Amino acid sequence: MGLIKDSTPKNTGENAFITSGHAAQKTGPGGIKAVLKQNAPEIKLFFTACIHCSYCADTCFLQRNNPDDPTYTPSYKVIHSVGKLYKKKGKVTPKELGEIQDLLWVKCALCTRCVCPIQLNIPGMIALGRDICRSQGAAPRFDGPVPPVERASNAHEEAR
Amino acid sequence: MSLYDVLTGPIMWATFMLFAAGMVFKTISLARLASASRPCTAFMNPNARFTRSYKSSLLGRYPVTSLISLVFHLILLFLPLFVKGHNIILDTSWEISLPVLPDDFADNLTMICLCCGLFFLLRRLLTPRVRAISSPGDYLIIILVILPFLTGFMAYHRLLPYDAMLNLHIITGQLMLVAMPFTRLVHMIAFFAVRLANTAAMPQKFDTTNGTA
Repeated sequence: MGLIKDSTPKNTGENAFITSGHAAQKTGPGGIKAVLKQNAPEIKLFFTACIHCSYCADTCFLQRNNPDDPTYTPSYKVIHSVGKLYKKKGKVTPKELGEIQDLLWVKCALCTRCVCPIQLNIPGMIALGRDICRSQGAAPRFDGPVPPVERASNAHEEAR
Repeated sequence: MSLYDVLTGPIMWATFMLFAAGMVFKTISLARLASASRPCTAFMNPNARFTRSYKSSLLGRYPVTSLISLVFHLILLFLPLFVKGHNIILDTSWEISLPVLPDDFADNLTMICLCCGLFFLLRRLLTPRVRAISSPGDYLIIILVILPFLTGFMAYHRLLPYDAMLNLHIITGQLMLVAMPFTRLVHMIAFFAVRLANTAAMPQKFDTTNGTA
């Protein structure tokens, strides 16, 4: 385990998310508004088209294996992450941000199995949500930026 | 001038104009949104693989809901066209009419439609995975669609004062028409346009840089 510096003794995932630090690019104050504005056509298109039918629920492996938890429904994940960020213009409380990160990185494996009857791109929106969070430095520890040049096996040591 | 005359006169014209203008406006605005967004991000999932086996299709997994949805939508679309009351108005106004369904058959269809609508409302209220993603507008839109049928049924059977019920029937029908382009009801039409769009025709960007930008 010498490859990973700063590894926490208890790798339970509770502290997997960081909300600051060098492992992401911040866009500065008010930055999230610019990011949301940049992605506004996609977000508005998705939320105009999603009719909340919940037929995507059946296509998600995680939802099928957690039938009592409706928060695994793919449309739920998008509505309560990207939708919440867009509606609140980025002004979410830390608790809400934690929930959004949970939806985007823990409750979704981005396996792209989910299908929508009207062919909405749900994995695309999850990826968009991850992009938005990453741009604000609210990404999981393992989800840092890929070093632009080196591909050596000790590259992640440099990034840390 | 009675309320009925106002409702069937200027307000009826306003309703149809709003409906037509709204549909045009919504088509243009959605087309603009689609052209302004990156291809295959919000719409047209390029990884979508629709199943070829019946038992994992929508109809196979949800046969009851699919059947009720089909019946509901067919009655919703076609019953108003072939019902006696509407055709009498069409005939007296413009001397055109469509074939008319017998009264008791239309009555039974209305009751079936109301039951289907109630099924959808209860499904949205009671099924956890649907309730979790439902907003107040979702419930309201089901009620909005049921109301013209409910008030028409009550007017026909004189369950409540006829004039009031008739006016309510007209108002709720007009509300539904005007709401169509501006709410999710537009998908009844937009659905076909989307399904006809071809994913292969969209430019797809795959990231082949292996992270080395």
